[in-house]
Amino acid sequence: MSLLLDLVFIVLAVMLVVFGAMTVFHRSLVYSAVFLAFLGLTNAAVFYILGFPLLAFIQIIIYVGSGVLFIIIAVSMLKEPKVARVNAGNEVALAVFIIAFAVALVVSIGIVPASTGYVSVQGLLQYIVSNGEISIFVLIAVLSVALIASISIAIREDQQ
Amino acid sequence: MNGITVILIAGVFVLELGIAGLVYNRNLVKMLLSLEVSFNGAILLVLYISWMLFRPQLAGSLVFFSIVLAIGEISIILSVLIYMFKMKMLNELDQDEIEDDEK
Repeated sequence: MSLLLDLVFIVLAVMLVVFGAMTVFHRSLVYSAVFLAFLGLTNAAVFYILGFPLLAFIQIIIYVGSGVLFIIIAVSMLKEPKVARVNAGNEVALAVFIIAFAVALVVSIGIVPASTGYVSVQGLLQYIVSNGEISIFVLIAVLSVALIASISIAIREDQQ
Repeated sequence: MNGITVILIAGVFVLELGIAGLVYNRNLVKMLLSLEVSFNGAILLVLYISWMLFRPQLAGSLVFFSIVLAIGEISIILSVLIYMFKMKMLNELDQDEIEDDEK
């Protein structure tokens, strides 16, 4: 693997961690949602380099383009709430747990990857269509129910 | 340690940052955002492991379905939050406040 690709991976990894931390710990909800959009874009870049171009496009178009923008618009409509947090006494224990669990997970998965694989858009779509007909129907049903439910909840007036 | 290993470590950290945010934040929207952060870390780890194990198509289809389902989850949760906020069931979108109201 070339030095340039290693450098790109390191920059993307740093961006992932920074955007994730800013999403979780930033005080403003709108800025947190914006950082979540940046996290999704960085994730899409990693997907593309790993050899999943279809998933990168779906991540950008569906997840960032509709989902995260929906969060941003919805949060912008709300009154910006006061951000309350748990008592800060056990933050050190939480940080130690995160680092220990990360080290254990990385060691257990193994730090030497195999060679790269590339899944073309056509190949992945063919695999999904040929092996996941039932999953596609279930997905369509679930999304239809979610759409109807969210619209009916959002336009519902007070019954009292 | 090469570059792709750093991606694995970053994926694990993003997953755990989301879980830590679920524990740390008491605001409902922040908890939803933390859930999405952990979701991003999880799909990154799934794709990385499949990339290592030469099973990219199975993991690709799984991640495809999970991304689309995450959008449905976001729409439902945010609709409920907006409704509760509009009906003044919530004043601060604060989990502690909801627990106090239930008591």
